[in-house]
Amino acid sequence: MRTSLLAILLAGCGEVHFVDPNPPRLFQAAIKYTSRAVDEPVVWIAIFNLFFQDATGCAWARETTLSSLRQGFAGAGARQLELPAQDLSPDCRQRGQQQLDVVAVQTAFANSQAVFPGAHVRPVIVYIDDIDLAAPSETAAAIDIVRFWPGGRPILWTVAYQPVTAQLHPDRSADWGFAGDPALATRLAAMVKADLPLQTTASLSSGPVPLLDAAQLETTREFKVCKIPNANVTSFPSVGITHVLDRAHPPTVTFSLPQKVALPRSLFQSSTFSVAVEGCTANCDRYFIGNPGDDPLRWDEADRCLLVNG
Amino acid sequence: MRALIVAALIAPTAFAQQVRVEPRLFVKDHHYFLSGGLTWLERGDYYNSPGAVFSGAYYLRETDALEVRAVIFASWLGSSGQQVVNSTGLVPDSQRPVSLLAAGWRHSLAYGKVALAGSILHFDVQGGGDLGTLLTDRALNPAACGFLGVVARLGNHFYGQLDLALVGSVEQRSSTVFTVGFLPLLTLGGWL
Repeated sequence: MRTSLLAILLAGCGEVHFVDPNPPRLFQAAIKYTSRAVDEPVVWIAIFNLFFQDATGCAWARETTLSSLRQGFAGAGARQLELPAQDLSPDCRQRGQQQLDVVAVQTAFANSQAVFPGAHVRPVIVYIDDIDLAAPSETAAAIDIVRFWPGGRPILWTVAYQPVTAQLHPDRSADWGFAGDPALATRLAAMVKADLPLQTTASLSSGPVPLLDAAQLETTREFKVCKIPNANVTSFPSVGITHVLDRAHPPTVTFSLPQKVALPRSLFQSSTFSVAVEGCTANCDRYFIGNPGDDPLRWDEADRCLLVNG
Repeated sequence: MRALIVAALIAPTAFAQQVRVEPRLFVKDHHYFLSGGLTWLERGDYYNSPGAVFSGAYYLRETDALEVRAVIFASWLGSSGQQVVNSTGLVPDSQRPVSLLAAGWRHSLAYGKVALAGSILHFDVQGGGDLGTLLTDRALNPAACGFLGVVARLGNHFYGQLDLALVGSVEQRSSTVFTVGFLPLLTLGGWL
């Protein structure tokens, strides 16, 4: 105890360090770039497979459900296209009475691509089934075929009971309630809000991103790039080297961006990159001393950033 | 037995001698003491700091006095520090002492006299402490002194004073530090 007290007193007793009266005037800057995303058009199709013991309400149930779907998809934006619905049990007497017209669906998908030229169309298939049993195997197989349409890897949503959901492994699902369920539109709207419109990376390159802002360009004489992302950088000044600022050609960095195409919003993540820069506005050839007692280093001769790394 | 006989022989001789007690010559009670002299502050700060010191004390009683001190330093950077400055441009982060102003209390610990070159020198051994400020080229820093010294009577109204003081001050260098320096003060003066 006595020894440590003495050590503290001795350490604090007037140590003298040499300092530079005109040290380099440095600043740190962190440039952050976040990739942008564009909304893709929403293309969707409903596939009904409804069964009612009292089939007189079949048309009403179908229209009500379709109306709920439209309400739900209304939140997906203006750029959307509803494809003609498919009905596998037109009179609601027998589930899977008709086979899914795979060719018609795929043709509709292909045509929708032409409606939105340049866009990445990825249709959303909404399968509606009101029976608490697995769907007929032929139906499941047909849905699989259209789901893996090579033109755009459609997304499958179900409005059904759990056995169907477990069978089809949809991207999202909502529980079937009853015909005319007013809450169905709300459940669908939540799914739409979570995933639509689909998102695509806006461009493959960030373009030149300035390393110094306008005010820094006015005052900076020299600068160093301290740290740069390991990948995704295509053009940048050498790291750790002192660069004399050429105001006619301000320093930039260009990032290549990983392309993400037509992903649900819940799965889409913007790519963010950051670059650390150390700038010097005056006395760049003078000594930098990080902490009292550290070796003095001439800032412009040090092959690293000193404020960041010490 | 032998010791008793020797004591009996010596004792009458001893009682026959006259005992003389010299009255205290160096009386300080209710007197002003003023002096001036030289000093040197050594605190390992790369500066050579000689100085001139002026000191005044008023004795409230024989053993206690209030005092004030003023020291003016003529500091310059020492050769080793100057060499670093010349070669690199770096300077020590210590502050150059300019002056010290302090006031405090001094107390006589002992009174004595010594035969010196045929005369008798009367002196006090004293100690004490001062609080004040150390003015530097950059700031006014709080300072405190503790000292041990000798005040000696050199004549009817003249005296000399040698204090060996430790001066502590709080100073802003690369970080805030508490510095301690050695400050010997030699002054000559008179009392009223």
